[in-house]
Amino acid sequence: MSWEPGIVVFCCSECRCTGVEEAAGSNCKAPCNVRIVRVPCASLISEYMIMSALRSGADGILVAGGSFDDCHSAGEKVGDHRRFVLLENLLEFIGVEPGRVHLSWESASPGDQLRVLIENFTEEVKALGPASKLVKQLEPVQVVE
Amino acid sequence: MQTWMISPVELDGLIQQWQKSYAVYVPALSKPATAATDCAPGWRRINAGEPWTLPVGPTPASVKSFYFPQPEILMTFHLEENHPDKGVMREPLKSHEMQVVLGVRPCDAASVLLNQLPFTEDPLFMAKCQRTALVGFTCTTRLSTCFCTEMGGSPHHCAGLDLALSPLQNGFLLEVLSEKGETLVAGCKLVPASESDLAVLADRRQGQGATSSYSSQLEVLKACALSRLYDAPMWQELGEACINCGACTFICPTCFCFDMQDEVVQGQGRRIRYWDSCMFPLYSQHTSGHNPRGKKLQRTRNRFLHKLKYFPDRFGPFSCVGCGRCIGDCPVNIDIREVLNDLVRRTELE
Amino acid sequence: MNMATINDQITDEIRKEARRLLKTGEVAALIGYAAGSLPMTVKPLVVRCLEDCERLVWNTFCVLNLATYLPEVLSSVETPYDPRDPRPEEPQAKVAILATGCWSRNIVIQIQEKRVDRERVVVIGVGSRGMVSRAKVKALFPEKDILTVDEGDHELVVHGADFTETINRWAVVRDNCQTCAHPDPVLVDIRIGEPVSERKNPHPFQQVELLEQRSSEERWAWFTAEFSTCIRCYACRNVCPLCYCPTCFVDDARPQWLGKSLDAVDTGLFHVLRAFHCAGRCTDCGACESVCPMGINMRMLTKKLNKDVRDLYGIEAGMEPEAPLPLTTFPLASVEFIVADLAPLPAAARIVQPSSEGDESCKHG
Repeated sequence: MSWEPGIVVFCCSECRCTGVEEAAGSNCKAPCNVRIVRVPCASLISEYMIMSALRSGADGILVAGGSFDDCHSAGEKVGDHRRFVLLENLLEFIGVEPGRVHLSWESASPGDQLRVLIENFTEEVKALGPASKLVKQLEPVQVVE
Repeated sequence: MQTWMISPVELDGLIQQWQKSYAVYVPALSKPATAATDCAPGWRRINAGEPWTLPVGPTPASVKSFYFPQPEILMTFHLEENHPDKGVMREPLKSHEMQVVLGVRPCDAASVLLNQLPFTEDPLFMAKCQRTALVGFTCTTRLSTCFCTEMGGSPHHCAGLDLALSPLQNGFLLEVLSEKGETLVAGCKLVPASESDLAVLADRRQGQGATSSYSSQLEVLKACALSRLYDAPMWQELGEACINCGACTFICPTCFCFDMQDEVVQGQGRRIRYWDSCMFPLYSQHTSGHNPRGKKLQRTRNRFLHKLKYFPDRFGPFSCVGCGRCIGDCPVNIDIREVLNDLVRRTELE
Repeated sequence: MNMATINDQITDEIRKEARRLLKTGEVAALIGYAAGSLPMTVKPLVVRCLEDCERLVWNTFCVLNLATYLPEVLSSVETPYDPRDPRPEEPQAKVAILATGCWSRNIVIQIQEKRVDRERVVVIGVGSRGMVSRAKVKALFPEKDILTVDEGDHELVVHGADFTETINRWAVVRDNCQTCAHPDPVLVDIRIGEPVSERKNPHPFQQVELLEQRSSEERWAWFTAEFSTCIRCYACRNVCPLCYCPTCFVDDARPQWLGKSLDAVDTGLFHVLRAFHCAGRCTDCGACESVCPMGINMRMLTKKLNKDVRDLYGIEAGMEPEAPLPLTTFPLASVEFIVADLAPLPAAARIVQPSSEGDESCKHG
């Protein structure tokens, strides 16, 4: 059986998740190992959530925010965009594979486009292989039966 | 108790012999090349013939983590839906194999005895005491941060050790101090120490023993009412400078506070006991949200009063062996020797 | 060392100024340094009475950032009031603080972040000639116990029980001081000693660049080895003037973001997130690295972030009290520059000028 990566998508429900619903409704073949976390605004996604997903073993993390034009809290998002770019660079700096964490700050898109985004991202993560860096693992322990 | 004379070559042979049956650990002096360590931080396991050096003065890391691992796994469990063992807590299998810690200084050996006082009923701690043999080297150099003699110890003491090695001109005097020590030298052909060598050792111990200030300071602080020490104005300045990091408590051989927690990763869980520090606000935080030691000053005061007042009141000796690690590593140069002197001076001001 | 050194003169001036400030009642407290109990150490000291002024010292080992203490000392001299009542309106007592280049920049950040009221701080500016790393000096004398270190203007005389050696001071100055471009305070109320001119450093981020050039796997190997000895004492966090959350993310219980013991992943994540929280605010004062009992070079992470903040947003932290914070306040007009793509933009486009019109700016956080 071929390996399927576990993907976590943090997604703004105002601008991007309309796409998710459509994607789900249209019976798309969005792989079942994609977990979508809806947040009211992309600026609510904290570095903790991203790192926590990484620590819990997600092979790929996609942060999907909407465009700045039609965002109801644009300013917030700009700040977070600035911060996330730094986080992405920092993770790459310490040796986490580029592409493991991906930010997509594009304009609101119909379901198909988000689906395509997720599918493309999944393919890219597949090429990277399973995540091992910054993934918390408990060493097996021999126990008293 | 027997004392033998052993040459450096013979000592190497002895160590190689231990390595056939036991894990032998020595102080690690540099950073490991990778994060993977199979033993206590600051120590490394050596294989037969591998070179090692003993640093001057106390080893970088104390032996605490051999007895009190960071973290210690108490229980394991599974939360996966279909796991046959779901919800059952299981105890990890304990090793009873002997491990040899080589290069222990007298201050650290004394710390193990001190830690046994509060942990005497702790099966995990005591089990590790059973299986750990300490092979120590008495000190010939006293660093400027060393103050074991002020804490009732001595650079030449061997209490707490299983084997003690005292360097002489042409080798080491090897003292066998316990049953574990006997096991380690069993079957070895050793030369008994000569009268003159024994005289040198006795002379050293005579010359540099515990200073008289130890027992007098201990008694003075024990006799003093706690409130008098508690309200001393010195805490204001100390508490203000202290940044409340846990460096002193974690490098201290006699700090033993811990917390427990369940850690779950993808359905697999374990209950761990890990080091805590009285310097952290969370240490004394109540479930209600109230924190009886919510201020920096209170936490700093607690650390020193615990070592110099609460612990002696309950168990007898100071909870400090004078290794001086905290003095050297404190980011803001809080010096426990000064704190002790200030406290004693406070009792004298009537 | 018979002649008074520059730092001796500065010490005298600091004491004189401290006496004057406390005598006239201009300030209620002064944050400075007292001599330490070991060679090459100093103790932070808050002076509140005239007698303590004589204990103040200034030397080449003042590696802690005194700004860390400022908010707490400020609140300690306030008129006590019931937390349920509004803050008292009368002007509150002032606090004086010694500040070099980086410390003054941290005070600027405290002012920007509204933790400190500019009106209540008297900054005693001292140009930094670079502070010496105790670890570097110790490394020169392995297996030796250093008993005293005498300080000259350009050399240190190191004494042990059986040796005396003179070493060049600049060779043992901390890395962050060696690459520092702003050794002179950016915010000064009272100046002590001579101003130190800006340093032109062609390669302020050389260490970071060297690491960046290595492969991903090599960088990962560096990261895991560097942070493997961390004991999670949090000295780096607590000594940092930027870290002041009432509950740090490592102490959060619901949800618990990180494990509490010595797991390589948890330790690594702590350092990544701690550094990340300093993004756009770090002045590279080097306190974190100086206090680490394990000698971990965690400055590499903050330095990388400083480099990115400079390259992407054209900002150096804490240079101007009136300037907005790079990551929380920015003009909306700048948005389209950075939305276009995640790839770095041409240098000219990356510089975002702060807007002068308040309503165009957004704040958050």
